[in-house]
Amino acid sequence: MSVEPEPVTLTIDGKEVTVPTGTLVIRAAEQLGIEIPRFCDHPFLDPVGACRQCYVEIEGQRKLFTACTTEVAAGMVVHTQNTSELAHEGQVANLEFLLINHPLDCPICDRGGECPLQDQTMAFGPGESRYIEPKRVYRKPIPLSPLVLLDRERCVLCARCTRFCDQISGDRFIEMFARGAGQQVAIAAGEDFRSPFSGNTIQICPVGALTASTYRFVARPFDVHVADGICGHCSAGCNVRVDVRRGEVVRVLARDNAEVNDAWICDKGRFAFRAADGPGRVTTPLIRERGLEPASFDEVLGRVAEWSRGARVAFLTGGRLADEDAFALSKLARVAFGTNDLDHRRAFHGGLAEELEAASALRVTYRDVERAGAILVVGLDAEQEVPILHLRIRKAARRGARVFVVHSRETRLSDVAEHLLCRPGQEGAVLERLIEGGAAGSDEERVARALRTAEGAVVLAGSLLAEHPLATDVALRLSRRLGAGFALVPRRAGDRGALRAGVHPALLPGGRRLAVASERAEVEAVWGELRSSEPGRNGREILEACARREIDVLFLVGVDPLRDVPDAALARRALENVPVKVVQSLELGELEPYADAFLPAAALHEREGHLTTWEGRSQRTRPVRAPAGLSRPDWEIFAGLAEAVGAPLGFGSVEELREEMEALLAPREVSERPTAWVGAGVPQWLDEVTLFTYPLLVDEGRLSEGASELKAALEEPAFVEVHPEDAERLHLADGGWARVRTGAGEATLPVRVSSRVAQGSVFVPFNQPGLEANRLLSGRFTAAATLEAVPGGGEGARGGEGIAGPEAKT
Amino acid sequence: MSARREDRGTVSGGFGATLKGLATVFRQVFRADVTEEYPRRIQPPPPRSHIGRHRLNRHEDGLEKCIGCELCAFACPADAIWVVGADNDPEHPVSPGERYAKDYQINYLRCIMCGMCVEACPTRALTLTSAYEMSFLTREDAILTKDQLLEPPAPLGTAPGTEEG
Amino acid sequence: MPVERLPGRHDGRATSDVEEEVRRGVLLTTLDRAVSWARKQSMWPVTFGLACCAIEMMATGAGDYDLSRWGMELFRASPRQADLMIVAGRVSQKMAPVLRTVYDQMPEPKWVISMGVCASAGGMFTNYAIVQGVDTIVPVDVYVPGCPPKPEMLMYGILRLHEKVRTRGRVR
Repeated sequence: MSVEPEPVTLTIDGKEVTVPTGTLVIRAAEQLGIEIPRFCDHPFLDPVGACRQCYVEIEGQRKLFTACTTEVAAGMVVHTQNTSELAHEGQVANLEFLLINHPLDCPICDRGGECPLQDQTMAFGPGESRYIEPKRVYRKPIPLSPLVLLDRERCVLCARCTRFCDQISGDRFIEMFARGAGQQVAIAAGEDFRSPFSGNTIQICPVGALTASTYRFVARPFDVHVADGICGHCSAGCNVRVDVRRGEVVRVLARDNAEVNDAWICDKGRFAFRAADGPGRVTTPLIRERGLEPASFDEVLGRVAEWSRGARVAFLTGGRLADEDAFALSKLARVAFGTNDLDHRRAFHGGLAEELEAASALRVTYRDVERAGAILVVGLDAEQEVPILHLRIRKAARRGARVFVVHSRETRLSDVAEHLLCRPGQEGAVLERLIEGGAAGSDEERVARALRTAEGAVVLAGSLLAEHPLATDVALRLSRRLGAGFALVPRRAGDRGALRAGVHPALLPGGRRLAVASERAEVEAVWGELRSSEPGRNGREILEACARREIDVLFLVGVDPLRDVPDAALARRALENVPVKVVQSLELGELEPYADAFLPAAALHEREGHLTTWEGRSQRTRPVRAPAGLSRPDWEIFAGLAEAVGAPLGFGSVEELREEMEALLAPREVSERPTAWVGAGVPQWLDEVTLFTYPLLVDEGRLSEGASELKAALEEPAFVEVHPEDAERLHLADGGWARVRTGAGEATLPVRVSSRVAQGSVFVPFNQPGLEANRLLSGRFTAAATLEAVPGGGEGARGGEGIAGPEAKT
Repeated sequence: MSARREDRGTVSGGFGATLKGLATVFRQVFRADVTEEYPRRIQPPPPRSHIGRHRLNRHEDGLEKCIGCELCAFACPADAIWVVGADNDPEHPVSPGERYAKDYQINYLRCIMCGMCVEACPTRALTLTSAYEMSFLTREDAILTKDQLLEPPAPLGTAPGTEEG
Repeated sequence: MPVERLPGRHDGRATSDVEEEVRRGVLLTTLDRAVSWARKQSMWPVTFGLACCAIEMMATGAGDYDLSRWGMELFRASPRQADLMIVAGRVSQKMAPVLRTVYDQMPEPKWVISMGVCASAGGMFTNYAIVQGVDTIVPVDVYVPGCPPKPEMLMYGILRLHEKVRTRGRVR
């Protein structure tokens, strides 16, 4: 698409280097391994030349130049501090200047020990300052949000944080304020730094001006154990560094990976790290005797094997499992128990699109998104569901991509994207109109033309698209028509890996269909003959079968159906009716009264493994500490269980497991099939009001327990979002209360009137404090709802009682 | 040489040597005693001696000098020091400034008394004393906590066990 | 020492005054005290210098500090003649079984002083080669810190051991 820029040759410190036109001198020097000190320069931010630290001498020029803002030119001869006394003097003088008002409180500063200002003062700076006058003093620290603390005394005004908010996250909460010696980073009075990316400003701050409240005075860089991990909060697959002090996770930092997360992670990944150290964590196997009593692994596995021998067994998993775990489970269920009743999904896409995702990897990557000419986002609120993908879409938009969003609610891409709001479940119809080119003069026609004419278009489909059983296939067909890339973007970290590994009632590893003999045979060549070729039950059918007592033993692996499944009543019925429930997780939580056996699993940072991003990229995560207590990696538990039932899985180490995995999970071609046609223009939902829900980034979900600062900063109590016209019709006022009734239950929620949401639909977040929205749902993430104003309202959100009558309001 | 060899053979020579030996012993009886009579009499340690336990110092106004910066722990080659920093309550500060040591422990079964922590301390909060009368019956006892380290060490010869001897 | 099995205790004969005392424990405490006092008087250490601490241990034994003031000058080369083991120096993993054998060969009652931080907890050798504390192999009565402890510190440790033997000693 883009033309390769002309190469330019220049000389730095006597060494020649050839770089493309437009390269900055500081980048060219990096290529030669020459270090030029800098504070404001950041490879992912636009150059600004704010700190003046990177002075170099350029032959033929009268004064010093900042290397971070000067582009290379042919024949340029650059001298850095290594070969130019003048440049060295300039840098020393600048450091002395920067340190004039710096408090030098390194011993109590959280940056101490890993501070670029400290390091560069030691390496390039003056030994002593001539400044003896009193320094500028500010009140310190001032909280910008419950997460981010600002110490203005330490700031060197490099503007990295404000540029990040401006250029990368696009939410300009903080800004440079005033001029001269009084210049400082500031935020509007009464405003909080409520960006889900605020933590990145802490990490890129080259001094200790922005620090994290979670890490305040907690540890030093030299007394933490560090391991390279992968974030397990969503399918973005951010590369992170996990810091552990005395066995306790104290901090998570982003690692640079230009292929995945650039240098950023979201605040959930950064600040929700205490779940595995919380009081709810159970690290001993338990077995139900009189109560749940501690037992050895062998004993519990033996009993579970006894219960499940010859019984009807089903497996439900959550989104936490690593690739290895998913693969081991897929094999365990099919080889040891001969069942296909296993599922990891909450939303059921089905169809060719899902099969493609299961079979292949890296069909669309972050890089493709970044370089795309046009991006169509369907049924996905990227900022809330896969935040780093949101940043990539923004980056693409900055590079000139046209972005379109088909969703029922306006997302935070609104400043760079055009939204086609539709009622939930209607996305398929909108997509079909786009395929057909749209009615003349309509928005859809314009969008369709933009997508058609763009170079390198990408279609990103989110999980809300699965509300219509065929909509994902329509999205796939649209991408085919446009010659665009297509990706299904699951929300949870383990989803793509589980799909690839075949934790799915109808798909074997590598997306091989169970029902197709030739594809099944490929798996049987490795696993031996499979007992059943009938596709099993999906997640919802498993729960229904449990409720009908058609299943004897239900394995709940990292999933709490009461909270995770979009039908709380069904989940409860299922748990009450299935005779044996085996819970394998980090904690018991609400499953305690139901569990008959508990198998403690190791947390992600306690074990070796891989996680697959939404692109299909499998990334390795390394343990930073040993599994807590007796807990084990999930795949080891599966292997132990297989041993106990007398059908060993055949791998004793991760290496052996991976060997088998890699053989079966090599990307394969999926034969093209015609996809179904929904029938454009036919409304899918004819209800008065359609309620829809998806989880917001920071909610009451698992793996974010204990992240009190994060929740204080970003979590909102439950609400119901209503379009102004609907509000008027239903007599709902912004800030008032509404009783939301669905077929499953009712809740009383504060009303937000906002044109962000599509007309005819109301949004409630899935799991915010005050409402477990799955009590309003019966199997889907949408439901027909009626709303009625509640005069007077209440003190907080109430509801989710399921069947209870209207509560008395005061 | 040769005369000596002849001496050895004779009675007088042998007896003379014995006498000589006895004289040496006898002379020693009147010499001053070189044995240090610890613990009965304790030799004061040299002024710069620092073979003993640490002490955490206070400012004159009673605030702790330690700001919990963990530099001592960083400097410690034996990983004997454990510090947990915390925010000072501005109403009732423990130390001047924002930060203080919520927890401070030194494990004397790791400490090699090298004094690098003292060198690293930016506030002169930590110093070594020559209170060497330390021995422990359990490993736990060997970890001195902040309260203990803030107390001045007992003078030599007063530790339990020294009354015997 | 089979004091519990004094005749008259089990055969139902009329109790004598002595037996009465035995029952009340007075005699045994006194006996305990006497035996413990005797035991602490002259402990013979087994030679177990492993590293730098051994130099200080030798200095403690020599004239300047003179362990013979407590009758301890006799460092025995044979564990069978010793009742105190002063582990002086870092114990490598290879030395560990040897140390245990020597300890096992010492007759009861026996005591162990762990001299210096390396023997006590691995000291600055936080690595795979060094036993992280000799108390993982043999029961330690007194830990003496220091790297190495000066003779006074070792002597103080010995005094603590004496005190322990004297006050907590039990006739077995």
